[in-house]
Formats: sequence, C-alpha cells, structure tokens
Amino acid sequence: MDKKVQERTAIHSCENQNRHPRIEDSRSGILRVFLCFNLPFQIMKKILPLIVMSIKMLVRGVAILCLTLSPLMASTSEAQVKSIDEVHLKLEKTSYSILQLFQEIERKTDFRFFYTQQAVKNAPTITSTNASASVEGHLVEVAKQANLRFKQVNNTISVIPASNQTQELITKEIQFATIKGKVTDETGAPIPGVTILLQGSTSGTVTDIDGNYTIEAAEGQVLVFSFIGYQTLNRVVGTSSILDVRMSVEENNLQEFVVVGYGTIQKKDITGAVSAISSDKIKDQQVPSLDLALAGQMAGVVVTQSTGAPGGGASVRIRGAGSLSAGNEPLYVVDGFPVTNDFDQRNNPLNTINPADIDNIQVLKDASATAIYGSRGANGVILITTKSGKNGTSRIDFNISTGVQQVEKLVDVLNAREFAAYINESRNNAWVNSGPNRLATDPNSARLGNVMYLLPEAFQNPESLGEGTNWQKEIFRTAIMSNYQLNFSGGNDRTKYFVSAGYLDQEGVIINSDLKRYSFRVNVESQMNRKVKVGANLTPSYTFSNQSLAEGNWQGGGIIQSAITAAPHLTPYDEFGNYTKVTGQGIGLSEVDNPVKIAREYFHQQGTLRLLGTAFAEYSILENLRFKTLVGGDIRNFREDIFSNSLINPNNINPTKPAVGTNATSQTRNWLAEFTLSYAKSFGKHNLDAVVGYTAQNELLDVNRMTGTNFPNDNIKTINAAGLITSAFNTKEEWALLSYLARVNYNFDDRYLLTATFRRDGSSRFGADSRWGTFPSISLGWRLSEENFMSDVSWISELRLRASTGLTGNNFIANYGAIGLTAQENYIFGASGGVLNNGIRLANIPNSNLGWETNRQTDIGVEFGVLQNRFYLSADYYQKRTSDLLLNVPVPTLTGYSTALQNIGEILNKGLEFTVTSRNTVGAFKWTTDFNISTNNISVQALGPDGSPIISRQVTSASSPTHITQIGSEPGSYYGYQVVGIYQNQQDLDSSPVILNGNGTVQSKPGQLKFADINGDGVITTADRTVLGSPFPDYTFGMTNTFNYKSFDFAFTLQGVQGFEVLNLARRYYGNYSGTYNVLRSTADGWMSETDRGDGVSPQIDRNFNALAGSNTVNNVTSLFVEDGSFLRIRNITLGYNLSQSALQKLKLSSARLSFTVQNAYTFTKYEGYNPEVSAQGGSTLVPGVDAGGYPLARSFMFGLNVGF
Amino acid sequence: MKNYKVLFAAGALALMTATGCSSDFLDLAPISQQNSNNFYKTPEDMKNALTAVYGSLQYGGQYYSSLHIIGELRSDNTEITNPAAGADQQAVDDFTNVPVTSISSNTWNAHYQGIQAANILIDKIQPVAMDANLKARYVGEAKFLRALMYFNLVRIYGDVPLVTTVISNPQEGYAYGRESADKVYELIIADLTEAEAALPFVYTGADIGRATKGAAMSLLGKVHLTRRQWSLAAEKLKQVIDAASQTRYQLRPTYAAVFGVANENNTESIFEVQFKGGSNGEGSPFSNQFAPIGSGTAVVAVGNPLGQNIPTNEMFQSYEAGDLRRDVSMATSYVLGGRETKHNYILKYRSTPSANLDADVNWIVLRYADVLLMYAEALNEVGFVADGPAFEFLNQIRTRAGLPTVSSTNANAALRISNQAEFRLAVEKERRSELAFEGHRWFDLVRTGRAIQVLASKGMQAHQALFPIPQSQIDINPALMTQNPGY
Repeated sequence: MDKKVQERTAIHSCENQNRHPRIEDSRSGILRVFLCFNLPFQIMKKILPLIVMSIKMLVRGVAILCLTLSPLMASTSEAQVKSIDEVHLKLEKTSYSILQLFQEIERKTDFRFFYTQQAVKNAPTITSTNASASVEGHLVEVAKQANLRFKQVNNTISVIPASNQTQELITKEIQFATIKGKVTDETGAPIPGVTILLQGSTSGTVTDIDGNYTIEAAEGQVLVFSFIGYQTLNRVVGTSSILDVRMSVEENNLQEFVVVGYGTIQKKDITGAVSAISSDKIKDQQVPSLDLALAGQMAGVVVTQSTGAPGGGASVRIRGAGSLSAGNEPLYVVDGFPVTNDFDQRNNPLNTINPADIDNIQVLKDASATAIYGSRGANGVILITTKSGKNGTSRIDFNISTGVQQVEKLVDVLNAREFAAYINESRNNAWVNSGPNRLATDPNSARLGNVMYLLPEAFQNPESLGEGTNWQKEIFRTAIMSNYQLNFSGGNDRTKYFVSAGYLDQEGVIINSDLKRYSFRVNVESQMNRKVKVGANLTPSYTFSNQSLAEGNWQGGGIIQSAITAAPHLTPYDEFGNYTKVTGQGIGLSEVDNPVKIAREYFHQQGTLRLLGTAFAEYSILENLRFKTLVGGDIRNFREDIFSNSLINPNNINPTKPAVGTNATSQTRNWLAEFTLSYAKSFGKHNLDAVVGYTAQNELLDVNRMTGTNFPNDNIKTINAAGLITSAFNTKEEWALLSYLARVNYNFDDRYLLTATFRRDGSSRFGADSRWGTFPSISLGWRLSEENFMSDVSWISELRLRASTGLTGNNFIANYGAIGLTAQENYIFGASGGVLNNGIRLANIPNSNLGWETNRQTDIGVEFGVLQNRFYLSADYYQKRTSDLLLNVPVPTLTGYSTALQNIGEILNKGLEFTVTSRNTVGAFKWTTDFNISTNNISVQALGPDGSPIISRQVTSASSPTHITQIGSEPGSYYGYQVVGIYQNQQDLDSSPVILNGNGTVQSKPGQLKFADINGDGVITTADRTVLGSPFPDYTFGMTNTFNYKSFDFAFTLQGVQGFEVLNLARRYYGNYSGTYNVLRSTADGWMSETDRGDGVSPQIDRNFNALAGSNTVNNVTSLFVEDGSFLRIRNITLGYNLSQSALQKLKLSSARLSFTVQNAYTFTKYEGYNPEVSAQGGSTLVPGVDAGGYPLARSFMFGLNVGF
Repeated sequence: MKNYKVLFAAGALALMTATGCSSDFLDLAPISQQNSNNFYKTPEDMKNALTAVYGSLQYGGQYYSSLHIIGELRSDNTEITNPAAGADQQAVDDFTNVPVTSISSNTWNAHYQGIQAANILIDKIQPVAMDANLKARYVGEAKFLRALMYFNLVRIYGDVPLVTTVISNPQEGYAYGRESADKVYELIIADLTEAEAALPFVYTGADIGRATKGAAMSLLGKVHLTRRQWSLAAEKLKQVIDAASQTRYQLRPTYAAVFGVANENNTESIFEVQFKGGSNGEGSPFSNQFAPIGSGTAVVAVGNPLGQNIPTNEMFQSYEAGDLRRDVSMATSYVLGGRETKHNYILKYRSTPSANLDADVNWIVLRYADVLLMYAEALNEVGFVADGPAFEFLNQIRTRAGLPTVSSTNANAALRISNQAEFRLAVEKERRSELAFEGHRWFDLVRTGRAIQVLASKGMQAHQALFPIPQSQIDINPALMTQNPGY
C-alpha cells in the first residue's frame, strides 16, 4: 500500500480507534450507569450520589483524553495534493508498456491518469533510464519516447497526444493553496477537534486545541466543517488563504429560543427550572392526547394514566402535590391562551388538541418560571406551542398510522372448576363455624338455619365444570386505532402558515367503547410591514365518544369489576341467545350483573365541539420596543346522552328495571385579552429584555341536565320518550381574572443572569378583602463556563448555576367559595295538609378573607454540558411550601355550619431532579440517551385549627374510612388495620391482642386475621387503624434511547415509578375470603387448620362474613388491600425507516418515513390488578390511589407512514 | 404608518375599557344562587328566610329523628328491639351513649343551624322596608322558633353556648363557650315574651302552621314549669286556658281525632312541625321509622319498616284498664301474609307514605291536653288543694280517655289522690298515657327529678340526666368548650 494512502487511512482510523474509543469509554460508562438505574430500584436512593459522582468522573476522563489527542490528530492530517515533481517513486522494472507504467504510478501515488485509448494505442514500450525519479521525471521520459504530452491538474494527469513539437512536455496546473484558519464558537472561543473535509474527497484535517487548522485546498473547493452539537458549515475556498469560521450551536441547544410565559428566552439565559419536549419526541407516541405523551419524559413531571378509556384523562403532577382541595393539575397554556382543564376519568379537554399539531411543550416548574402566571402558577405551567410554517418552503405532509390495541394482561382469577371448589369450601367452613359438632361432610339436608351453609346444586361435581367462562375475555377485544393527519405549511419572508386536518378513530379495548376526533388548525402569521405583524391560531375540533360503564363497583354495573367477580361456570348467553342473569349462587342476595350485557346495552355518548382561537397584532413602536395585543376565545360545547336500558339491573335479583335516561349539555365560554409591551436592547455587555403586560380573562359555564324514567320501551333513548322527568336543572357559573405582569431579564456579558418577575392578580373567586394578590419572583444565574478562569477548561461547554425563589398561588377552587350562598330550605304551611313554601337559607359562611393558596418555592440548579454539550446534565433541588391551604375545615357548629372554607394548613414538597442527555455515539451509528430521575418528598405540615387529621372515605368503600391526611405524613395515606398474621390456635388468641364483642367476649377465632395492636391496649379497636401506605412514589424516572443507522431509527422509552402503594379496594370483592364472588387465584387458598395454613397469608374462607364482624375483611380496609404499585413500563418502542434521498427524488417526495410502534409494550410490576397507576377518583388528593376496577391501559401496535411532498 | 398607530391605540383602548380595569369586572355574584349580599332585601326575601327557620325543625337532629330518640327512646316508653335500627340509637336506649355517639352531635348541630337561621332573620329584617306589623310578626315567629330550639338544647345538654347574633366569619365561632342554663333561659323567656306580644292568636288559609300567640304562651308556661317557677307557670298556662275563645283551643271529642293525617292542625293542636309527602323532600319519616323490622308492608304500606322507637311491654301495661288511648297509640301485633306476628309498634303516626320516609303525617310539639296537664301540675305545686282546679283539669283529660275521674275522697283507692305527692305521680302517669310517643316522657322525668328512680333499672346513672356535649365540639375548641360531668 502506498504511504499516502496509509496516511489518509490513518486519519480515519484515528477517528475510529482514538476518537471513538473515547466515546466508547463514556458510552459504556453511561451504559453501566443506566444499567444501575434499571436493575436494583430499591437501592437507587442510596447510590444516587455515587452515580452523579461517577458521571462527573467519566466526563472529566473523556474530556482529558480528547484534549490530549487533539494535537496528534491535527499533525497526522496532512492531506494535501502535491506536484508531480515532489513525488518520487522507484520503478521496479526497466521496461513497461505505457499502460503498465500508468498503473504502476497510480498504484503507488494518488495521481490518476486520464487518457483516451486513441492516445495511447500506438505507444511504444517505455524503457526506463532512471529507476528512481520524480513522477515528473518518469513522465518526461514517457513524453519523449511516446510522443505524448502531460498535463497535471491536481491529482489528475491528462495524457494528450503531441500536436506539435514546440509544445511543453509537461504542464502543471497546481491550483492548491494552503488554507489556514481558526474555528471558534459564537462567543469567539476556539473549538478544538472540529473535522474539516474537502467536499467530495476523503482529504481533511482536524482543528488543534486552539481551534487552528491548516489544509491544502484549491480555489472553489468546498470545506465542510463539522462538530458534534454544532451546525455543520460549508465554506467555499476563495482567494484568501485565511478562512476563519464561527460555528453556531445546533438547533435544540443552548442558542435556541424557548417559550416562556409572555415571551421567549434563549436557553442559555434561563435561570429557572424549565423542561421541554419537542414534536420529535411526541411524534411516535401513539396517544390520543398530549398529556399522555409526557409520561416519563421530564424530571419532576409525573403523568399518571389511571384509565385506559378512550378519551380518559391523565393526572399530571409537577413537583408533587401542594393542595388538598384546590386541585393539583398544572395550568395549560395553548399558544398563549390559559385554558381550563377539568379532566375526569371519562372526559379530558386536552383531547381536543391534536398532539400532531404540537411543535413543542415547555413545562415551567419553579417559581421563577411560573410566577408570571401568578395565582394560577402554583401547580406548574405547561406551555403548548403549535406548529407554524417555515420560511421559504411549502410542503404537504400526510401521516397515517393504524394498528391494534389489546389489554396488557388479564387478572388471574379462578376457573369454573376451582370456583366451585372454593364456594363449597367457604360454605363448609361457614357451616362448621356456625355451631359445635358440625362437619364439612354433613349433607345439605343436615344444614339448617341459613342458606349460606348450603352447597349449591351446580357445584356438586366441580371437576365436571372445566374451565368455564373467562369473563374478561368476553368483554375485551382487539381494538383498532387509526390516526390520519394532513398538514399544509409554508411561507415566505413575510407570511407563514400552517394548516392541518386530523382524524383519530380509536376503539376501546372494552367492547362498545370508542373515541373519534376531528381536528383542524389554521396558524397564520404575517409581517404586514416593517412595523406591524399580525397572526392568528384557530383550532376547531370535535370529539365524539361512546363511553362504557367500565369503572366502579359492580353494584353500579362496573364492567371490569363485574367481569372479574362474575361466576365462571355461567356463560354470557343462554341457549336462546339471551343474556344470562349472573346469579349469586342462590342465596337470593344482590347479584353481579352480566358484564357482557352491560357493555353491549349501556348507552353513553359524549360529544365536544371546541373552538379555541387567538389572534394577535404586534406593533414596533421603536426598534426595540414592541406593543402586542392578543385576544382569544375558547368555546366548548359538551353534550352527553346516557341511557341505562331496562335490561341493565346490577345489584338486583330482578332481571329488569325501568330504563333511565339522562341528557346533559354544557357550554364553556372563555375569553382573554392581553396587552404586552416588550423591550430588548444590548448596551455593551449589558443585555436587557423586559416585558410588562395587562390581561383580563373571563369564563362562563352553563350547564343543563335532565333525567327521566318511565320509558315505554328501550328503543327510543331520548328524553322526550320519558314518562317522568325526575330531575331537570340549569346552572350558570362565572369567574374572572385581572392581572398586571412584568418581567425583566438582564445579563451582563452573558455571565451573570438575572430574571425578576412580578404579577398582580385579582380573582373573582376570592373574598372582597383579599381579592388581589402579588406574586413576585427572582432568580439568578451564573455561567461559570463564560468566565475567564474557565477558558482553559474548554471541554466544559456549559456550566451554569442558577437559583430562584418566588411566590405563586392556586385559585382552582369553586367559583363562589368566598360568598355566602343560599340554598333551599322549604317548609309546609297552609290548610288541608298545606302546600310547599319556598324557604331560603344561607348554606355557608361567607369568608371575605378567603384568598389563594400561597406557594413559596425555592430552587437551586446546575446546568452542566461537556464536549459541546454532547453530554448535558441538568440538576435541581427544590423546596415548595404551600401554605394557606384552601380547606373546608370543621368549625364550631354553634356557628350554624359544620365546616367552612378557610385558608389554613400547610404542605411541604421537596425533591431532586436530574436530567441527562447524552449523545453516546455519533457518526453513521448514532445513539442518544435521554434520562431523567426525580424524587419528591411530600408531607403535611399543618391542618385545621386543632390539627386533627382529615379522615376520608373513597366512595367505593363500604362504610369504613379509607384515607387519612395527618400532620407529618403524606396526604391521602391509606388508613386501616395492619395485618400481622392469622390466629392459629387458642393459645395464639390468648397471647395476642383480639377483637372483643360489645359485651367484652373475645370475638376473634383461629383462622381469622390478626391485626397489629397499634396503641398497645391489648385489644383491637378502631383506634388501631394506622397508615398503610401512600400513592406518592419515592422516585420516578424515564429513559429514552434513540438509535440511528443510515435510514433506520429505533427508540424505546422506559417509565419507572418506584416506592408507592395502591389501595386495591376492589379486593373487597375479588379478594374477600368469603366465597361470595369469583376471586383472585392468589386469595383463594385460605387457612384450613393450624397444620394446613393454605398460602400462609389468606385467612379462613368463610361464606358467613357477618360472623366475622370486626375482623371481616369485606368492609374494613386492611393491609391486605394495599399492594406495592412500583412498576417499570416499556412505554414506547419505535422502529422507523426513512427513505433515502435518491429514492425520494425518484418518487418526487421531500420526505417519507415508515414506522412501527408499540405503545405500553410491557409493564414490570408485582401489582395484581391491571394497572398500578390506577386512581378511581382521578386527581383527588384526599382519596387517591384507589383501584375499584379501572379501565385497563391498552398495548398498541401501530404502523405509521409519513410522507412529505 | 400613522393609521396603524391610531388603529392600535383605539383597539387597545377599546379592549381595556371593555374589561373595565375595575373591580366590577371581578365582583361576580353567583348567577344561579342568591347570596348573602343580594338576598335579604325585600319582604318576600324575608318571608323565604323565615320559612327556612321553620324548615330547620325538619332536620334529623331536630324533630325528624332526634327529639323522639331523646324524648321517647331514652325513656321507659320505647326501646330498640333490633340492632339493625342502629348502634347509636341502641346506645341512647341503653344509657351507653358517649360523647362521640352521633345523636349528640346531630342534635347539637341541627339546633344551632336553626338558631343561626333565626338569628339571620332577626338581624337582616331590621333595615328591610316593609309593613311594621308583618315585620314584628316575622321577628316574633323567629324568636318563638329560636326559643323552642334553645329550650330543647338546654334541656338536653344543660349549659350551652348562647349565640344571638349573625356569625359572619368562621373565626367568630371560637369565641363562644358554654353559658349557664339560667342565661339561656333568660333569652328563651325574653324571646317568648316578645313573640307572645307580636304573634296573632290564629292564622287562616295559607299561613296555618305558623307559630301563634298561644304557642308562645304555652311554651313559656312549659319553660316556667321546667324551671320550677310554679306560680309563673300556672299564671301563664291559665292565660292560655282563659284565652280559649281567641285561641279556639279545646280538647277534641275523641282521642283518636287528635292524630293522623286527617286531623292535622286541629283545634287541640298548638304547634306542629309540618310535613308533606310527594317527592319534594318535605315528607315525614315516622311511618317508616316506627314500623317493626320485618313487618313488610303490614304496618307501613310503602317504603321500608325501620324498627325504631318500639313501645316496651311495660308501656303497654302502664295503661289503666279501659283507657281508650292505648289502642289509638300502639299495637302489639301485625298480620303479614295471613300470619300474626307479636311485635309492639306505635300507631299514632301510621300513614301511607308516598315513598320511603316520605309521609304527610306531622309531629305535634304542643297541644292543649299538654297545657291542661301542665296547669294541673303547676297548681298542685303551688299548693295542693283537695279536689281543687288541678283535679278538674286532670279529670278533663281522663274523661276523654274513657277513664273514671279521680278525687281526694274516691272510695276506689286507685282513683283517690290525697296529697300533693300523689297528685304529682298521678299527673306523671296521666302525661305518660296522654302524651305517649310525642316526645315528652324523658323530659318530664328529668324535669320532675324522677328520671333516676324510674330509669335506674334501664341502666341510667345520675349524670345521664344530661346528654354529653359532642366530643367534636370540644376537640375543635378545647379552650372554651367543656364536657358535662360524668362523661
């Protein structure tokens, strides 16, 4: 091999073996770190500091390696073209044919010959006179002997037949010059290690530690400058031999402008805690609404998808939960419009915003960022910016994705055979326990007194029943989901537009449930002239869904719970094709209804028509001073029709009941006007950016609801057919908010940053004496990486410390909480039995001092990027103290009221957040890892005046309380008896705390649950209820790995939530140890005797649970209902293929992508129900985390095709 | 360019003006509910507010449940025979109720809720421009109701907080501790005196059911009697009797004609809590509450039989032979599906509800027979006069009940009353039979100091003459709220 070729190869092998190994190092290190994250979650907390330290050390190692190697690489990169008189070679033979000689030279040098066959056809054999000579020397010989002429142009030697003898034998046109220059970043700092390539060749070089390079290049050639994290630059070589280059940071990096409230700011200047996600990260998430796309993506942002119902909402918590009653959902701001989001399990207003229209989402977390939203900023703010057209390009994008969804798992319950045996066992035990000398072998004829002792006829021979019906399979289906999106976008230097239409058609995994969304968007923006810019966003959408009665207790017809508890020996339909009445095994009590029937017959349609739009006009008063007016409206029309027909009659032995129909409509009308004046100017090293504004917003809610019964039949479902209207009402509510706001961003020399914000809010919701509140914040930043003393450490690309503190508020309470409202209190007067007289009383104490919940948040953070931010870490510690909690606290009832809404109580959230982005490999194979982990510690600091705990009952519980909120604990902790075992024998009873009857006799028996005696008084009473767990996780994390190779890309997202519990209240039915319904397999193996303890955990199965009274697990919350909910979910897997440029050109497309996505691929958890993220009451803080049979999440497999024209 | 400037300025100005820039923009009154700021303005508003004070009588903690649970169940008249009726009622019956038993808090809360409604009316009506007589009457009605509620409170709990003004801020509630019963009675007497002056003797038509002058006088008589102010009581009760031509009070010809839906607001009735069934939330619960558990539709045809307030066998036996009142007041068996089941139950409130707990039948608080018996009692306490007027009034009641009259010289020892002490017991017994199941027995026994003698066998201890102050109220304001001794 020729030396030069070797040299050149060396450049690249150096990149392969030296540069990449350095990256390999860091990658494997990071990989190791991530493995640590993935494996032993429990020890995470302990090793967190270790991880942080090891990341730091790795980064430092990589940087040092890089620095030491940079000069080496620079010196080995002499890739220049030489003149033929400079290159010598020794010929091995003395005579050659002319072609042989050309080949010999080509083989040993970089020169290439260019000739026609005609020219060399008659050339004689060349005899070498001098074996060692320059190429020129050899060619001169050839020229003479073969009468040819040569012309060198760069590395090409053209062979020309001699036309006359005066012609020069050799012409050299060496147009190369040595180009020197320096590569710097925008701040003028040198960038070492920048690769410079001659376009179309393999020649190139690398900048040294001072950013200097030297390269040979000819005029007109193109130099390609590339470096990770920076935009690749092409520079044409001109006449100058000096070519200095300033590279700018790649998009999505520090130079990028991010949207903050009422303006934008450069990422590098942010002094608050802000997380962002771009459309890139959303595009492959197969979710109907944007809140679901946020799961696992950002530190400190916990998205809990508690229901899989099409259109159901997720609860979003930013940095824990600060409020007990005023709501914990963040404020959503769509294109500058703060929208009202009152989501529930069935209806999520965010559905109306098509995720495909979103360009980016910013999550404002600390007070510095949120205080500009004042009395609504306490729970964090989510800013959604929709797409806009790009300058100079017009394109059409068409996206289609379609696929199927399935439930991830089925709950493991007994089959028919096992069920029969289980029921028989429960009744035998009930019989044996009912009196002395009673045996399990006694026949039915001997069992008197109670139907619960009788063995059902159908279960005489359990084996003959076989598997029976798996009711879950009967209600679940493989559901189809399709999503279509068509975008038109484009623009010129004055006007940009983005127009889209989308259609989503999602079937639910439970039969008869679905969601359809038709969404449209028009975003336009135009610079009318030098001074005036106008724009508008208009978003009409219509969502329509068929809801199923999936959630809740079976008594109310909850399909999920019914399917789990329904007797498996029965079938959905009888031999005539009619629905089977699911029976309670013949004891004449309430009955689980046929879940297939409920799913098929229950009629519940919802439709929402929404028009969200804003328009703005901006006027440049001076060059740096702009006035902007924005007006917007959000009009939502919601319609709902519910018809529970006569066949649906859960919790009843009768097969039918009168049908009940409900028709409801509501209209929400919200308008906003906003005026801002912004000013931006640099004075030398002082940079100033300020905004002041005034906004007004008003919302009117108008609700109609009508319910009727006595329908002649089930055919006509509208209320006109109802014979009797049982209720009809119309109510209206209104709120208004007036605000003044101001913000100053100031930085000195890009090193010292300051942001101060101020907002003054007046809210109609609060008392006349505390109507106005002031919300200031201040934050400071210090970019150490810009300091002179850091200039030597150029591997640190960003090092910024930031700290912030400020006040925000939470005004998400009832609209008229401060006002004394009246309520009906009628009475009868008059002769002959009298008539109703309208009476009106005051329903609550007015509280003119009622104000917002105050949230004081302090945050310190660090931003750390190395190697031009190839590795980037952002870390935050925060403390968020919410005081003046809006609580309906007990007051002395001599006031005439038992509770009053007051500002009282305090909650403290504090936590740590880490976000890491690492570009592990670059080049042909690209691997990027985004990782975040966060902890949040929440505790109640103060409650009502007497500090007494708030004990609450979630409605699906029978009668006992389920949750406690007390000082020193997490709010909404589960509350009940701690099971410590099972009483084994009399001796055990004698030596353990027991439950006593009213008359003092011991009620506990061997085989029953033994509870912890919390107060140590020797007996088990309600005073022994204790905290059993809470829904607040110890930590949450998310990781996305993205791989790119040539046209392929692959990514997967993990979401982990660790260290929280679920209160599985549905176990009251499917884990109740009393043989009333079908149960979890894990709860069916009950205690039989001291020697046969079953699974060791379950008590004795006994049909007569009333005999267990205080000990019974049916109506009391015990620790057996509390399960570890920790999970690790593979949230998303996407494999994509982008068509190559050449294929695109052939097809006349500008882009095309095929993708395959699996959403909710797998969940690793010990939780026995469908979904550990469940919460029967959505975002409630007082009764959270209850599983009452929630709609399971679907796993979806989707194919996608995106085409751009 | 100038045009733009003008346009901008105009547009911005227009929008800013539209939003008002003022507090009016934020001063949003509820649209679908009236509120404390815009209500209480007109005579009609005040009429509605007064109706709400009456409405509070229907609360569970007042005449809907508490007053028969305390007045009857606590006494020897009735009992709980089936635990399904509720552990808290069982505890009241058994004298095992404690400060957390719900009866205490329900009763306390409901009475103060009603008192607050009365306070609001008395306060808010002052500036309202309206007919002065009507205004005085409204105030009189509210004061009667406030006095009635305080009277019940002071009889049940002893010393209680005395709230006479509108509570306008939750914090104000913490300033109130318990006032001595004497102070409370001072207010009761003042309120009733004012009510007596302001109220008419009778109402007609649509106003029937409102508090009358007679009601105020009768209640005041009862208050004096309770406070052992015998001559004051006798004087006031005599006024009631003497005013019969104006009050139109008289004993109904038969005992049965006093009770039942058909006889509501009759001439013997002085004050009733009004109920009316039919899906408007105004129905009474007694027909269902007092039917034995398991009696199906035999006793109450609609809704559930709840098994509360079941007459004791001893009650049944306490009636004298031939007392016509017994079989009007109670029964001892019912027939269901052709089979007779022995079970006591109250008949006085039997009716057919329109739905479960939704019957027309009223609750009589005061009636003329009570006044006559109280007057007899007061006269006897002022001084025993053999065969004096006290005997006359006692015998009026006995005669209607189909019983022979009593006298100081009757040959039949059972009908002979020879001294003050015997007369006391005779009145006590007569009241038990005459006013059976109307919520008087417990209060009578406590008032006369006989409770511990009569009820010790049921488990009563001396301190249990008063109910415990609700624990929740002590917990919430431990500095000022104290518990009754013994609890």
